[in-house]
Amino acid sequence: MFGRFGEEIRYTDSDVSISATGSGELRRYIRASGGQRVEKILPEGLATVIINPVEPVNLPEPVTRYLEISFPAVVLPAKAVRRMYLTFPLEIGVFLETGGVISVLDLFSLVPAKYSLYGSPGAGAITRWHQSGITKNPPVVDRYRYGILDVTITNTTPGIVEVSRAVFDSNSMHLWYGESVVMTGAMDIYSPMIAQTTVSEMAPSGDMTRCIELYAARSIPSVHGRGHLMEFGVT
Amino acid sequence: MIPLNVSAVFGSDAGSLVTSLQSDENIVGNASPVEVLTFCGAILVAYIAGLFAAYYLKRRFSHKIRRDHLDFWIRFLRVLLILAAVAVTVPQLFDAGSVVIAGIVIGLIAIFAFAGQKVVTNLVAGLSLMYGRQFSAGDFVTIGNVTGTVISLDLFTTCIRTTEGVTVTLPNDSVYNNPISNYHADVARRYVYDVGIRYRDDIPRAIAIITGILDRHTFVLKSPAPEVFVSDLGPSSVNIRIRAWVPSVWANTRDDSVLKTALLPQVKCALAEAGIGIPFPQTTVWFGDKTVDPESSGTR
Repeated sequence: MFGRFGEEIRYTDSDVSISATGSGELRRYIRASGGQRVEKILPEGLATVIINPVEPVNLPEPVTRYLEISFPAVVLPAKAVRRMYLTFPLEIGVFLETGGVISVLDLFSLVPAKYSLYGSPGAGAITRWHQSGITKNPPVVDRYRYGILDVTITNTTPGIVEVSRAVFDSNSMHLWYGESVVMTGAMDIYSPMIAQTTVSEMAPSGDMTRCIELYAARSIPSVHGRGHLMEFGVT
Repeated sequence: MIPLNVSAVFGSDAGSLVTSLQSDENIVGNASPVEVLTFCGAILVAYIAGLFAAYYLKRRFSHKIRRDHLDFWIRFLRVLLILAAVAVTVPQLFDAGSVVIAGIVIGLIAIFAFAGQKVVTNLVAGLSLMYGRQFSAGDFVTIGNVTGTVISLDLFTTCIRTTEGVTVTLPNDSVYNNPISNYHADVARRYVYDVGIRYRDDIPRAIAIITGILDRHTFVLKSPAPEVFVSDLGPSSVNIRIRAWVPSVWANTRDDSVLKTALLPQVKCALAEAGIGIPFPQTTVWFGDKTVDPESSGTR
């Protein structure tokens, strides 16, 4: 399903059906998934349809820009560095490229969303919440539903720290796809209450394709962040 | 009658205009042409300076300050600049002994003092609301008995669009003097619902069913976790209270009934499927000549 498509697209599996077919003036884009059907007439002329995963914080409504991943508690000794793999939910963006301009055509997800609150109602932030397991090697997941987060957690404190959640800012997310959808992140713990999370812009491996980010497609300028400072604890 | 020397202002050529400007002749009261032109020039300069200041402030702060706040302060600054220009130049006219100008100024002061008292009160209330940041455009608020989304907070009035789609304009004075509930101030809000079940029903099971529905609902927050507990043993039912937190930004764009209609029918259907009923109000009447002991009859 992921990739760039010039003339025609026909993709169908048990969960989703996508097609962009027709000729001349009426080239139709049709997507059906989860009981929802979207139909749009594409513009005349040459238009490329691009399908790739996007930052998973936009559906069902743009309520937040933060992704919170909860996982079983990990105990980190002082100054320890630990690399592990988590999962995160995916949203799939369908873009239309005409004359070098990319715009959002459709957005959907095969994973039901759940929101949470990180911090207090007065000072915290709403997050898109996801429960993940922890694996030492990249887990096998449905690549249309879940991505793999390769995260390195560093305990910079002089004491033992227990960590069971990470909050990432979608404005600094960079997703790559190939056999699976991958994001490479880091979490530096400064205290049991404060940690910095970042997502690397580098490709996890040479054969992966970079996803078009939604904020880039929507031409939102200068939103590249330097990660997110978690100020309300790591457990 | 104002003695106006028209030929002094609209001279036939530039030379005569300069000559007439430099003359001691008065064109308004006993203000000289130079003093009148200084007054007009100062107003014009203040106006242009206000435009430049607005341009600079928008470029400098538009990404840091909310747009409605920035617009408010820009308007305020521009009014201040014009007033400053008036304050600087009017005394010169006074020095010139212009009775007419003095009369106009005194008249304006009188208007402000008597008719404009409410206007000044609203202006001060507007500034206080803006400084206090009780709410901003886009927030969902209740002010007095008006509930809706704030469209704008201006110098004198506040506009609110109610959930019925009616735009209500409130004077800032009344906004300031009424209790303000801002549902947008915090990122999450809590809703409370009560559901009654029969006395013979399995309470832990009913709580588990309701908790499951809340867990599956997208906008019921995972944390703070929803609470489901027996709140009351009523005359006809065991009352179960549901407390659920939802994102304010989601809840505030809707009427409160939306969450109710999303949750309560699901709760009712799920309880009914599990054989748990929601009882009608009922009263059991026992007559004194009956031999059955009401305490041991097991009706509850």
